[in-house]
Amino acid sequence: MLQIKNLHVSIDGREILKGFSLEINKGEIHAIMGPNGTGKSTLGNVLAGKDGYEITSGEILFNGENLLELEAHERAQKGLFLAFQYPVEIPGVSNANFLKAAVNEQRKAMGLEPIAPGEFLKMMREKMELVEMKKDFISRSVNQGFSGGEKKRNEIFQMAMLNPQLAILDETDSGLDIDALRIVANGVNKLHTPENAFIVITHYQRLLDYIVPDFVHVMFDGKIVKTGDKNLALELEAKGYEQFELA
Amino acid sequence: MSNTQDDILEEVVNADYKYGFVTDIEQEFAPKGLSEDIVRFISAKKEEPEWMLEWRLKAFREWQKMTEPHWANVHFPKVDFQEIIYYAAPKVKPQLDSLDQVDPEILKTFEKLGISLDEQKRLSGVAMDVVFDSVSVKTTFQETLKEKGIIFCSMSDAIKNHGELVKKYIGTVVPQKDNFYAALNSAVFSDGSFCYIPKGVRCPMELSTYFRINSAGSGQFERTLLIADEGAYVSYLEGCTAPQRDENQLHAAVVELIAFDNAEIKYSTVQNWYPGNKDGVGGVYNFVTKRGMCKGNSSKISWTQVETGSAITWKYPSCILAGDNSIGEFYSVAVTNGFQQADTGTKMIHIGKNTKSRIVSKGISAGKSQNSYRGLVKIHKKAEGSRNFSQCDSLLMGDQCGAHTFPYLEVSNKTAKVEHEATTSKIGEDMLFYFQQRGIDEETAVAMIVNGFCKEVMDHLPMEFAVEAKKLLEVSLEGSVG
Amino acid sequence: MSLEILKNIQLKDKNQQQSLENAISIGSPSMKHEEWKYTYYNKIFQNPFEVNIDTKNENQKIDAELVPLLQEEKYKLVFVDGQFIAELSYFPQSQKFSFWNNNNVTESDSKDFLLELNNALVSDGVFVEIQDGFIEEENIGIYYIATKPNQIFNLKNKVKIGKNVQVKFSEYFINPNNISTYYNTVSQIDIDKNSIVVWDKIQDGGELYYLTDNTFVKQEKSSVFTINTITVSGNIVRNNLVIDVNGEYAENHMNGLYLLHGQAHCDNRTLVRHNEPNTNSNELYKGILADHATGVFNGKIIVDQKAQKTNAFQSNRNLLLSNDANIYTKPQLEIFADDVKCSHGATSSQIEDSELFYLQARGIGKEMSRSLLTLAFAGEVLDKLSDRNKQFVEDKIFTTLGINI
Repeated sequence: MLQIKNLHVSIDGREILKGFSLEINKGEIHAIMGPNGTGKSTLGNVLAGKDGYEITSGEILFNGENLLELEAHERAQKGLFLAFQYPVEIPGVSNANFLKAAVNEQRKAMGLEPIAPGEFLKMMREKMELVEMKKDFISRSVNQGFSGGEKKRNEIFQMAMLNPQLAILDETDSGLDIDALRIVANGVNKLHTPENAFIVITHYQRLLDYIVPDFVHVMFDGKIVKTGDKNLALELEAKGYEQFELA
Repeated sequence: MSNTQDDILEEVVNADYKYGFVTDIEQEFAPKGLSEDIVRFISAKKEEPEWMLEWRLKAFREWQKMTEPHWANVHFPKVDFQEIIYYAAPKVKPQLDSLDQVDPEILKTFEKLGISLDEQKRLSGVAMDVVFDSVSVKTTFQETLKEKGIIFCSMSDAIKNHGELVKKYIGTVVPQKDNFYAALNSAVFSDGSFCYIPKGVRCPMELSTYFRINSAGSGQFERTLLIADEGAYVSYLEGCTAPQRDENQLHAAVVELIAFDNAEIKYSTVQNWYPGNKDGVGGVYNFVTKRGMCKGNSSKISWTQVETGSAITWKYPSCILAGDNSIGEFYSVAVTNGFQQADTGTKMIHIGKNTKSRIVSKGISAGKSQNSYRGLVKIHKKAEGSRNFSQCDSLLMGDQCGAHTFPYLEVSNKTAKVEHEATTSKIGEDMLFYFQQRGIDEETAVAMIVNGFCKEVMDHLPMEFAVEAKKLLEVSLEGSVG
Repeated sequence: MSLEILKNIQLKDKNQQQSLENAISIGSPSMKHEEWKYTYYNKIFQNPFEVNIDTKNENQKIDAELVPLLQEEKYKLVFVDGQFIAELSYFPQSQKFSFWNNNNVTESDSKDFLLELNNALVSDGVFVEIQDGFIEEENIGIYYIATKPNQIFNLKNKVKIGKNVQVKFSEYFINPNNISTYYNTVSQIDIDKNSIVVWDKIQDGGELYYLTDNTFVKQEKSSVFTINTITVSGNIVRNNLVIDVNGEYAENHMNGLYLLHGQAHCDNRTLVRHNEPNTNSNELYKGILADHATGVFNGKIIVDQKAQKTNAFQSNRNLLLSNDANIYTKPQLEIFADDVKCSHGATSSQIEDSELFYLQARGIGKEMSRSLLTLAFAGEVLDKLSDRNKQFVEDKIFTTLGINI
């Protein structure tokens, strides 16, 4: 589904990703772990198509298509979803309107008619239950005045609404208490099917108690330095990242 | 949603000023320039009583002694007041009894404007007065309103048929010599709307006036007077358009509102005068004095405005909160693009006890425009327990424009609580990326962000106006980002 | 007396004479002028003030007891009635720190009445030059002490600060005998790259004291400038503060407190021009107004078109303690760049009943509760002062509010 080959990325002339490679197949969950400042968030932003990053070499294929040639909204319409580490507040735009626009843009790109209002509402209600959102949420402005936990839950809710093929969770666990973490993880597990895939970017092993990855990659200084199964995460928790500083 | 947005996008693509046509009808003009004779000419044309002429002449004499104000943050060449035609009217029978009698060309104009004097609007329940250049051409729904004792007619008719009311209230909120443009208006006003809601009557429908400048070289000077007697309620809408012309046209209107005990007036404006072309040539100079007097206890006046047009706007709809427990509100969206300049805001003068005011102003600047908020909140010594809250936000689009905030707070009572907040920001890259990551392209994202930014104000517009205003907003900001 | 007296003055210095003529032709500020809308400047000239330009002061004997702050100062420049008094001053010179008195007269065509008046009639001032890398933790005190009644004094300071410097200045405007006088002071402060400068102004001239203080600051790249303007008394006090932020990554903090009672009138006008990108300004002015006092705040922030990524925050909060007190506030933003974050807020209110009740419910008397809450309101600004200045101002507030803690 996704192939990242020897990716080099710079910001303002400073190289952040230094030969990053990764292959992801349908149905897989990949965890990417590493200390702060190793380029984990950069990876998420580059995949989603944020401006301001210079791709100096390498390629990214998404279902065989060159991802780097697509605009951010086109990537999203093709089923790539980024759950933001810091979701943005959008005053005055209600969650309902925001998501209706997003769902319909995606449908338009797939050649489908806009969703019927009744059906949309039904879908909203259904997916809201998944992340235990309160009813007044629909009419509130996107992320405005939300607590940290509510913002993260909103990211998962949006993911449920857009039903992506590949979802990247950028430190979704940071700043969450254990209840919120459980709700978020539970949402992810319910959405996981043999047809889609997840990249879970995290600093701590904690989230992986709830979302069990098929692969754990350790990222250090802009590339993957070690790959293993879920036990690698436990090992990291016990020993820390210091072992890689020597490598 | 998607449908509305498609409409908007379509509009954006064809976003020249769509109201910029000229209606070809026979018109009657006064000679160019301003003198006592012209004032007399206008008064005579309108078959006015002697007291009205005297009132006008007094205003004219005051005006001659005054100079134009220069404190606003707008810049334009000096207006030559002798080059303006102060009276232009369609050559039609003065009294119109049914739509059939209106010049078909004028009707066509209104159709193009999307204003209906027809059944559609009747069904939507809006009573309309239409002012075409200087003269009111048609007031619909007279009969329905008459049953309730409501007077809603053109100012000319009011002077003829309800002279005593006009004489009693005109100039009591905006005196003749209030300011340069108000004095000018008082001398030469040609028409406008008059409305009186009797005691305890809730006006059953929205009242509406549509203003249109058509003739070249003519100024438009309407005068509107609205009186809500004790316990009355009225919601009033005002819309404005003008043809596309290379010269600047002057619009200097005066609106006076009076609310007695427990009365409420809601006054909404969608102003879309021609803003000039993309190089800043032409456009309307919109110098308007609007003021409401909350005369009675527990009265309320609420101004809502969406200002997208005009080359220059100079306008401060205000409330004098004289009655105890009275309430003043001001909700405004002002959009400037191209070379437009807007200096707009409000004054809330708290005199009565426990008076409350709320100001929500949203300014959007794009292109090479300058957008200023100017407001005054004054709490008099005796205004015990008064409250004011003001929120003024500016959104900048592009790096050639300016956003300015000039709030004045004057407080002379310790029990008063006054709060003013203002922010200036731009549509951030982070915000745009968030939309894009959810599959929404940049143009749609900008439209949604702008609508979100203005939402609190839009929510105060009557439904059908809100739809029009929203579209207008999109059209005005076409191509401003990216 | 009126401004007419200026016309009878002849000055020897050609620049001073020119400034005098400029001042006369500009005329004194009138309330019709937007910048002076709420302050009646010409009231100052209704006093029987004299302009004394030729005579040097006789040896002034100052009872040092009257100026307690003077005692403990390591660096101090003392001016009595507009003249530098060496006996009271202490100013160790060094290679990196030169410090002397000078009238700083220049050729001037500022179009500003007060600046021209100052340049024309200036009697003395400070000239400070600080070389790169000078770091001093001790306060550098500048004292203006008034003793001779019914005089107009003009002082003019020039402060040049090099790169990587860290210094703290304090100006004290004091009037130990509570005489009637008018001070018109001008300071030009230039701050070079990476320097950190803190500047306190403590104004306590009493109810017969008139003051117009004009401070102009220029900041270069990555410099940090903090100014705390504290007015605890005065008949008319007008502070005009202008900061030009001329270097990237420079930031400034402007704090003000005006605690006024009686008939006192204090007008703070600030102007910050962000001329370069990535600059920050923070402004917090607080007013407490009792009796018939009047507070004016007129803050303006201008963000130039090239000053992208500017953050500018401005806040003016007022507490009215009397219905005869007035506050006029006008926070202004003029933004010509689009990638900015700017905000301002202004409030006027009284002490919250709920807070008052809370304290009373804990057994604190009503008047004491009120005073404590008033002090708490001022605290946000007081905390920005050095300990000794904070102590001085707090003592003043206690006296004014009649608290005894």
